Amino acid sequence: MKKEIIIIAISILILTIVASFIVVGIRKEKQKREMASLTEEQLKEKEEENTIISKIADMSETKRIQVYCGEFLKFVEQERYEKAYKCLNDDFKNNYFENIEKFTEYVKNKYPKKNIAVTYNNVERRGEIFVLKVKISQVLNTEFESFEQRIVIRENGANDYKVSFQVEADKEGEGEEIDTQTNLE
Amino acid sequence: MNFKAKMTLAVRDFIKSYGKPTLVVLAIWFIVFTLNQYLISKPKEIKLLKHDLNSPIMDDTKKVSASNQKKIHAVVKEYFDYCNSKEYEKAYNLITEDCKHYVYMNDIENFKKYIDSIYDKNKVYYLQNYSNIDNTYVYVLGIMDDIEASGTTGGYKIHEERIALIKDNDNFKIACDNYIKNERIGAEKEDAFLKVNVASKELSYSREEYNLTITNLTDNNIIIANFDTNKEVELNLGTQLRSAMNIANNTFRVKPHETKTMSFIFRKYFDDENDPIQLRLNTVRIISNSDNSIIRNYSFNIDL
Repeated sequence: MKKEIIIIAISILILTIVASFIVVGIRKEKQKREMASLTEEQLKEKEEENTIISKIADMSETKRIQVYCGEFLKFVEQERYEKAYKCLNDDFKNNYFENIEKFTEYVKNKYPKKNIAVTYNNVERRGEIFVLKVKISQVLNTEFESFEQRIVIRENGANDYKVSFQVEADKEGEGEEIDTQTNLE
Repeated sequence: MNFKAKMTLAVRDFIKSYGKPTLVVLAIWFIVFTLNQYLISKPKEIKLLKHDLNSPIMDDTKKVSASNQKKIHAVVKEYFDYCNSKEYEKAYNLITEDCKHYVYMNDIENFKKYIDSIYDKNKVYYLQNYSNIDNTYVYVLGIMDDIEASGTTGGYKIHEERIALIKDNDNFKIACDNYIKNERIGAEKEDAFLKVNVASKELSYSREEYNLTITNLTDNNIIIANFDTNKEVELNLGTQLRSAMNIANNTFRVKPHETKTMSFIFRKYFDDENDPIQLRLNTVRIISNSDNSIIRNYSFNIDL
């Protein structure tokens, strides 16, 4: 009886080891085929995404939001307008940039062509939305007229976010009107 | 007997003796192994550090239960949607009777003015749990322009206020505009000159308003407060005293044998842990009818 139990146990162990090797082999093969089907650009994007996700995994919320803001502006700087356009909030797109051409024209005229510098003046949470007040300038170019801008970001998941931004500077009388009665009489 | 025959016989004997238990073990092993492989192959969910809007700011150990959270969020959404679409009556029906009485004088027109002052265009909102004391749940309600749609272009408005969710049977009603509720007190004290009943107090998030009924038992005028000093009426919280905020430019006087209601307002946060223990009328002055001199000046304290 004891002998048979030992045989059963050893058989199960061998079976488990063999099955594990087979499954791992199949999985690796599947991954290889997936990677092979991707273009170089897609591979680069996937790697970039994985890098960002591992970078933000242990960050505070505020830091992550700043990373997303930086990432969005990097897409603009690198002329990856499709990527940047995809980051936009849908309602915001409908209101201001109904197609990618309008968006591309806007960002080309608004932002520096290269070396965008972002200074974060303030980050405020409003529920699940963050409002960032940033100053956009160009590194080593004092001729570029820097400007302030408000950027609104909602995080839906790791490196999954939507962006809106202040399209034009505040006119007289415009700006923030914040009535927090929570500071109370 | 050759080896092949011996093996065949051994296997046949084994299956005959241990076939069923072996099958059971193999089946269990197969299920466990498949499940394990499935769990390994699932994409790992990354747990991001995230602020929890349902965690109370003042004390994160006193969380709202999941079932109450659900009801609270549902009623606040309903209230907000009615306000946003200017369905005043439906919104008004979701607020507490105390709030209707104290904040809007039981007049829906006052409520409409309040709503119109905030909801001047399509709004969105957010809700942050602030503090939970007994069965009163205080939240910060933020009402703002749809800044995701506008990107804050052209400016934007945010209005934040504290609201309280009070249980009404199995549902919740809302006390808005920083008001919480009315609380009955029923403390009374009488001496030879004065009878004072502290009937109740109105709790707002940052203040308490005590409703008093005062009877002058004398033939002379009695002055309770007239801002001669700023400590004429105080609230004793045990470790500190708070002066009444509404005495400046007011005279609180009771005529001979008159019964009068008056109220005194004190700074006091709903969620600070100091319980008021006494209301102090520090300078009760009995005034002579003949020459307006002060016949008697004394302090009258009522335990709450």
